[in-house]
Amino acid sequence: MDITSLKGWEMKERLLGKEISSREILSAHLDMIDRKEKDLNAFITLDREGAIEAARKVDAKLQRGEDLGALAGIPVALKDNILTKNLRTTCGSRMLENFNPPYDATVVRKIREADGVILGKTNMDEFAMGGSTETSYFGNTRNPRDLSRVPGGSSGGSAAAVAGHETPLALGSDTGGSVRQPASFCGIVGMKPTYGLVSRYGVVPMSNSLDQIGVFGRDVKDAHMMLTSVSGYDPLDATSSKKAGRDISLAGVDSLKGLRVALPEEYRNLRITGDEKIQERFRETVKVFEDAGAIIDYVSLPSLEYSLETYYIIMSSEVSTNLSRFDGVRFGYRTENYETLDELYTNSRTEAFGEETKRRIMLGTYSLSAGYQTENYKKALRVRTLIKQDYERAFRDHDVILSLTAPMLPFELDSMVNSPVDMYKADLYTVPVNLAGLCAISVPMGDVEGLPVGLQITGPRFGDSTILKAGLGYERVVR
Amino acid sequence: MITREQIVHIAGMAKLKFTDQELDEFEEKFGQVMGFVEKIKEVDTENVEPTFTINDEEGTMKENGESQTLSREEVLENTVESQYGYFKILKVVE
Repeated sequence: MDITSLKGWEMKERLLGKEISSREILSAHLDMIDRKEKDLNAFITLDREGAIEAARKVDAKLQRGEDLGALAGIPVALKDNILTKNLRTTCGSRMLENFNPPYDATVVRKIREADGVILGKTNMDEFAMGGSTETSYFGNTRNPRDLSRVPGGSSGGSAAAVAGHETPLALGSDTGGSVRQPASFCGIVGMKPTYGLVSRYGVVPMSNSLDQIGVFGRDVKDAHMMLTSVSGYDPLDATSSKKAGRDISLAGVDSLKGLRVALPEEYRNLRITGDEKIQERFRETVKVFEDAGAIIDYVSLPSLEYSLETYYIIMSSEVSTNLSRFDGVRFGYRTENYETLDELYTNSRTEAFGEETKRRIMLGTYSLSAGYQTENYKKALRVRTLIKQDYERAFRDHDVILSLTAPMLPFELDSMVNSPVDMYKADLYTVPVNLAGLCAISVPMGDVEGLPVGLQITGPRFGDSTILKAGLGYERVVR
Repeated sequence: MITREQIVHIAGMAKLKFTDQELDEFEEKFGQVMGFVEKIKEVDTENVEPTFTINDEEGTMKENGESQTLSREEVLENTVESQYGYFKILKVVE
């Protein structure tokens, strides 16, 4: 039996049934990592010793007949912007090449408490900025489905590790699609929960009002298991919601019969060069929902047309303020070339930040600067209200919205990174979800030209259970 | 559109520095991005309130009391230079 081909929940069943040990599950995955890492480069830092120790503890507990947590013995990979105590956390940047966090993020504490086995830290676009994992200081990650292509991003390392069977479960972060788009590109399930459902304490912030921890698995049940292990109200995160404590259950109706599905009119006529076959696959998928008893309806969300622009202004503004913490003094890279304090700041930042990071800091600094603030930033915040209201209207009499996750197939390495605007357009279907603080899941809807494409199921705030069940229902119909 | 002088000014505020060659390239790419976000100006937002954050729940008050913080050693662990238990930088006051 190849343990790495099992789903996380199957590994747990076999562990609890004492068919396999936690140590065996771990060894199988470490072997897979040894075989594949030179091709994939999904990890920045591996923690073999920590993982072996965690697995040993699980086996000891099992032997003593003690209760085990929800992630008992299951390997988990973490995006490298999630702080792990005494385990290097780089954010894919030269700036944090040697950063050794003094504390764990809340989600890390929860994984440890649930008896999960943390394998290490995965590659990402620098400070989570990018859609291909090519802006990482630690080299490209490759797509396990086709090694000449990108895995998507920014959580490309986590997605590739799950798709490549190096781990069954992983965490990423999603500010504008950074979990859902790589899930689509790698042919796995990726979910961005409702804003406020999962604590952001100890996650290096990119854009605080948009960032949310997201989960990866090879099926919906695994994504659900990962999510429920890390969700919940956290007093250490001021934006954590008190409603986050409630149950996110898969129990109850999970067939598609009677599911009220909305399709945005604005997406119907939207075309991006080269997306014809993906659109065709999407129409077939909608038909699958319809044939299974879902009620399909068109809705208009007029402000979606401005969501990309709104997103880029708000995101870059928050990025520029967040990244001002990197001054070369308290942590992070410090230049050797300075004679004044100003040179210390400027040269440290100039030498350690990559091109895309600098570009977004610049756009944000401009948007927030005197004279432009009202024109750009405050305008964007008002358009954000319109987007939020459009969704509220749509969800008044619909359960979910269906769309593509990404309007493109995973592209060849080095083919896109130099055209920022083209790269931004790839986020068209994912960014409005973050602007409105909603939840959305990307589920594989088959292949186009031999490459995976994702279906995005979007739900209202705290509709996490609804979209998971719709995803599960779809998975069952097509299996 | 944005001038090179403006770009240099913004870079100064952001504590970033660009070489002439980088500025050439940057000017072009930044110009593309600026042109792209301009479109937002078309939207009618009269009488629309801004959304700073999505969560509409009220903030919580914390009990005033002692709580665990990081030790001095932990705080200093990631700096390049420290001295006498402080971050060491340049002398800024004579």
